[in-house]
Amino acid sequence: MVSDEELLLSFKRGDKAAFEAFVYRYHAPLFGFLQRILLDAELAEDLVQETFIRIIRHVQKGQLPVRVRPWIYRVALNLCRDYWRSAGYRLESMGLEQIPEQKDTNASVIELCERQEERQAIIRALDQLPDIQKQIVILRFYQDLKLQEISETLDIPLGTVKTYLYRALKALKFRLEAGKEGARREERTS
Amino acid sequence: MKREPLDLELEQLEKELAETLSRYQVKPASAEDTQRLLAELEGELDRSPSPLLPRPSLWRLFRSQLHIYKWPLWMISIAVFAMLTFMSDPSRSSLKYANQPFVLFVPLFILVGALFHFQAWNREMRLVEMITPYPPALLIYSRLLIVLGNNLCLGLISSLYWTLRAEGIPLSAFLLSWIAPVFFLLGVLAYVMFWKGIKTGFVVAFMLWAAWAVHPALIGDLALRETFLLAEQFFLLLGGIGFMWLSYKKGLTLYRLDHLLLK
Repeated sequence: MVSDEELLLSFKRGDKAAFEAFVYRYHAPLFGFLQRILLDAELAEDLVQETFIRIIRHVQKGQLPVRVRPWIYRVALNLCRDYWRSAGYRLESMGLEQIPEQKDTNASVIELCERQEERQAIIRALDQLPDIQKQIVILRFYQDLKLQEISETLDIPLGTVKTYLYRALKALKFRLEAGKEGARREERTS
Repeated sequence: MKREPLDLELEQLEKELAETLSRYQVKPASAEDTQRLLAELEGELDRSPSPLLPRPSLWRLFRSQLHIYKWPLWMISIAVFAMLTFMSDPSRSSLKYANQPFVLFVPLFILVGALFHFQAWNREMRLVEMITPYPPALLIYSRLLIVLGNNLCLGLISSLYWTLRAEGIPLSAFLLSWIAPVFFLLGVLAYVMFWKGIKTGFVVAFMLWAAWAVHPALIGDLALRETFLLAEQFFLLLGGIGFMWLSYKKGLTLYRLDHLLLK
């Protein structure tokens, strides 16, 4: 398989097809990443497009990173930070009740409710983490990045990544188990 | 390598939470979404200044394709050259060596070698090579050069063997007698192939070989025959080098056209 670095190098030389292959490779992962970071599918779509535009401009200026994968997530995260700093961002407009639901036609109604509850619980637990820890968990579990790549993406030492991930997972485990216990108690009393 | 307790605990925690966290699904991106995104990016891609196309390095291509000449091919080539060398006897030759089996069949063997290398270049390999930065036309060209180079080496050894073994055989004249048709036929093959396609290229090259092989017998005037053949060898060599050069230029043009069409 042609590596990300080779694709961008070909694009830099003028091969547009190489960049199209790059978009096909990274559209879905970036879209998923930004949805989990921003909790807004529409906004995530816009920022995915903006991320690719930034990448195009960087490459055309001849700025090719040594390792592409951590770099594209860094570009995407920087755009999120820009967005959060912008006047358009209103924290209160993004309540958890607005999180888009996933539909699965094969599951029963009860299963759907359970899954939806579980999903909401995960989102709540993730959202209670400090931003940096949440980003590390998302990069690790959903984007399948190695710890070293996360360190490069967030520009923090590898040891710090491990410590933050450890704390985040401990907190998530505690909250998710507490949530399950609470749900069971509620079920028993009703 | 010794692992720290934090790494082990982290690994354990990751395993425990992997299944739970995997239930947090988000809206997937479909192929249509990606196509739409590409259409949106089209403007940005078109606005970009067209970068200068780097001139592909023939030497790099040549090195990247050297692997095609594997040891069984070397063995076959050595065997064929040895056989042709021992079947010939340039010390008793007339007609500027044109009737010697070595001179007659080395160009044919090289054409067959080129055909074999093209046949061995299967569709899957071609698809892989199509997405590399190498231009396909120049890839074919570099392979022809490899076939030519390897056979020139073996032919040179045979020629040296004859000049050392028998007296009165001028090395330059014997070399010219087989190198000239080899260059000419490969040059024509490459040139016609790039203009009219692969099949036409091989058909023309094989027909020219057949015509060249029989033509000395058709020259009636014995006095003129040797002078004519010597002049012809010079022309064939010059023509061959010319065709090889033109093919290389054509390969470069095809490479630039490919890139223009992709923009």
